[in-house]
Amino acid sequence: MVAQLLGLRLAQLGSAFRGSFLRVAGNALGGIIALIAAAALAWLPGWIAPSLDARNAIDTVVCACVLAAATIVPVFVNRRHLEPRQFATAPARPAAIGAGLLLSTLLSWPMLILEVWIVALIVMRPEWRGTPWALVGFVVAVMLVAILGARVASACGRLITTARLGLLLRAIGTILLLAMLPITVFAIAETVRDPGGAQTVEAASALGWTPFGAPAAAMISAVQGDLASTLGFLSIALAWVLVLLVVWFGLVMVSLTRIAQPLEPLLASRSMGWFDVFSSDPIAVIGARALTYWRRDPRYRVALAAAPIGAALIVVALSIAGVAVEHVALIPLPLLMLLLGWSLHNDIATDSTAIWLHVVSGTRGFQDRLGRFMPALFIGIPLALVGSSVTATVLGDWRALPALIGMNVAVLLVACGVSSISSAVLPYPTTRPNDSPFMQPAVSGSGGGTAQTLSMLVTLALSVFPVWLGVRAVLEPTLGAEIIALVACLGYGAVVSAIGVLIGGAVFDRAGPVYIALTQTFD
Amino acid sequence: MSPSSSPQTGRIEPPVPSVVRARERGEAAKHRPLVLRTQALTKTYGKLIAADRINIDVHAGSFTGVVGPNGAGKTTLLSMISGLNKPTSGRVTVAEVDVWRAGPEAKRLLGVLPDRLRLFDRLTGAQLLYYVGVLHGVARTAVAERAGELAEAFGLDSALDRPVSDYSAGMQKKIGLACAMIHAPQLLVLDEPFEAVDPVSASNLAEILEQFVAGGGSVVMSSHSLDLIQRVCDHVAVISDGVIVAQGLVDDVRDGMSLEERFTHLTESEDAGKGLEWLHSSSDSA
Repeated sequence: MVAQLLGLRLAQLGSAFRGSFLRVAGNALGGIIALIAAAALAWLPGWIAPSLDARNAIDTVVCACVLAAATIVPVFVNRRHLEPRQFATAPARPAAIGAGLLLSTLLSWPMLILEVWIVALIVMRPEWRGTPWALVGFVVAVMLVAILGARVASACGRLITTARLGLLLRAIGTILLLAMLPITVFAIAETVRDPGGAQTVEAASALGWTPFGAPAAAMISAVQGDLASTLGFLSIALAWVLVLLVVWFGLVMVSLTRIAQPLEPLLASRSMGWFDVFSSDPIAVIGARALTYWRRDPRYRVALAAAPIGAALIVVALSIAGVAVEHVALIPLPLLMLLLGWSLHNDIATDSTAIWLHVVSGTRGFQDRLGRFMPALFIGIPLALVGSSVTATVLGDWRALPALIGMNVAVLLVACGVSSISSAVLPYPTTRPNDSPFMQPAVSGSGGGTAQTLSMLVTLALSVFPVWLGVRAVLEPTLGAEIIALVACLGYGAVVSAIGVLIGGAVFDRAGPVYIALTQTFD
Repeated sequence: MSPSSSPQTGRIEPPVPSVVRARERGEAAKHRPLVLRTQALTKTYGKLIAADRINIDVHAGSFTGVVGPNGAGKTTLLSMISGLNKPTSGRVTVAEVDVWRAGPEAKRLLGVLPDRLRLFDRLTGAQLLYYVGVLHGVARTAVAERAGELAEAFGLDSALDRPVSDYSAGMQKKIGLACAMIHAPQLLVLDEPFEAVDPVSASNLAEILEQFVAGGGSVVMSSHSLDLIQRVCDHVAVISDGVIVAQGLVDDVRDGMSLEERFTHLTESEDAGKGLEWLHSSSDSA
């Protein structure tokens, strides 16, 4: 089995050189560039670093980035990979298939590039060759972490990805990539400008404790003669490898013994929009319905367009008033998150009398509340990731990123949680469905102003804590404080939104008939 | 003998008229268990009494019509039964589950089509059916299958990919009815299901409902078309000013008259039609 898998892999490698001349030439050129880039990646740190310590730090960071990429990218990009499921009919034991797939991974283009990088490192770091046992440990650890990471990630990606979820997963991958882009460019530029900088050293010492940075950290400690650290770092990598091994063979077993549920013919033939993307439980379909409405209903589109305009106006106003760029840069994103979450604060009234369907079907309040979060989270979280990355770049300090992400996501969650209660407790008349979004509601008065003001004030008050945490961590950036801010903000946001869902849901459960009577009078 | 006639008996059997079917069904339903019971159901808005101590029993496999003049309390009654309008006092039980105490369980047994409430009409017909099915707890595969069959039965299959807001009033009634049936309820509560539906579709709908009842389901429906009620229903309840003035088998309520005559007799006040002399005598501009 192993030999056959290796043969298959070789054939796959060769397939890059079959087909039209242009395609072969393109592939060959791409391959050569990738191999040169891999070698350059080993050479660059030595060239730009002013001192040995700085070069060691850069090496650790590069190693962590390479191994993290090898593990994360296959979750999203895995269509051409060999998967255990493809060999379900082969007369071989799961263990043989699992081992064969692992071994054969050595013969794939990404791994070849990785191997070139390793060889280049061995050639260009003469002092590493001074401790051969550590060098062997380094090479083995890098290869194992990369191979196992790639296989497990790709298999996981395939397992959670049915055909309809594939699109969603690729979209998430693209968003993450976009979010990382500004910060990566900034980090590289910063490192090149000031290679011995404190930021790089600090990042290297933190990354050394992750399984991705550990092999390089072990190698460097061995060169420095620190045996205890070397073994410590190597055991981090080893533990990670063991965990991945267990997961990998478990995944192989599952893939070979279970079958995927086939798509239903009616749903498969008919495009159901967002309903295709989400699973079929009440929370998910309510989310899909809300997303459909945010796209199709001009009332939501106007609210969405208003949020960035509001944020932009405030930024312009503050800039004119002479507030420093670094401080202004912090403002638009949390404000956008606030408005995005707050836009849910009257969604029961926006549904108008159609809410009877939720009442009559016995939909539970928390399902209704949670489902309605979906569009705000769907737009808000990618925005928070990309935006925090941009903000960190403008601030000129990439270490601010975790705290910024935590703060922005927390503000979004808080706003959603407050809206969840507000829309259940204080629905007020709004523009009717199919009316122009700029039209006045058919009924006015009756507490619209109160509900808007109250929900906004409560959201602002509850946002103070995550904003304080975030700003404090941004002003005094140490990596530890950043991580604490990230975790505390996310936890706080989750708790506030959960309380919002529970209270809003309990009110909804009791008030179903009241909503129908109310929306009928609004209509 | 032409080959198209029934070869087994050699005779052409005339179809049984729906009135006859309804009569037989009404007799048979008496012996089946109760599927809906309202006890002293009352709704007051301040001093106005919209429904006054209403008691209705509906047996499994029966087709009950609720008739009454405009504003008599038909919609109030039906929405109290379907969990959309909380009664001031009294009880509603569906298959012995209290609608106002054990909401979600009772609501699985009920299929509801209210009058004059919106649908989520920015969804396409297929999306709406799927949405409602999942909310009622039907599995994904079953929803897909049922949505297709219901759309075909109601003549909506060519419209399934269009937004419901583009549907005509009659088509919206039909998709609403399909939504009410997608979770295979035991009892359908329908408020004016035939309003704005064209005559051909109406008889098609009536046929679907009759099949549903023949399979052991029950229907409670309000309508202004007494002719239709008389033709398809086996039971009828006449409501006027929030009070049930007559109920029972259609034949018993009719009491030898046509339902329309009996209805007029039961609900109309003495001096209706009087006091409009100014309208009949001459035109103001003359």
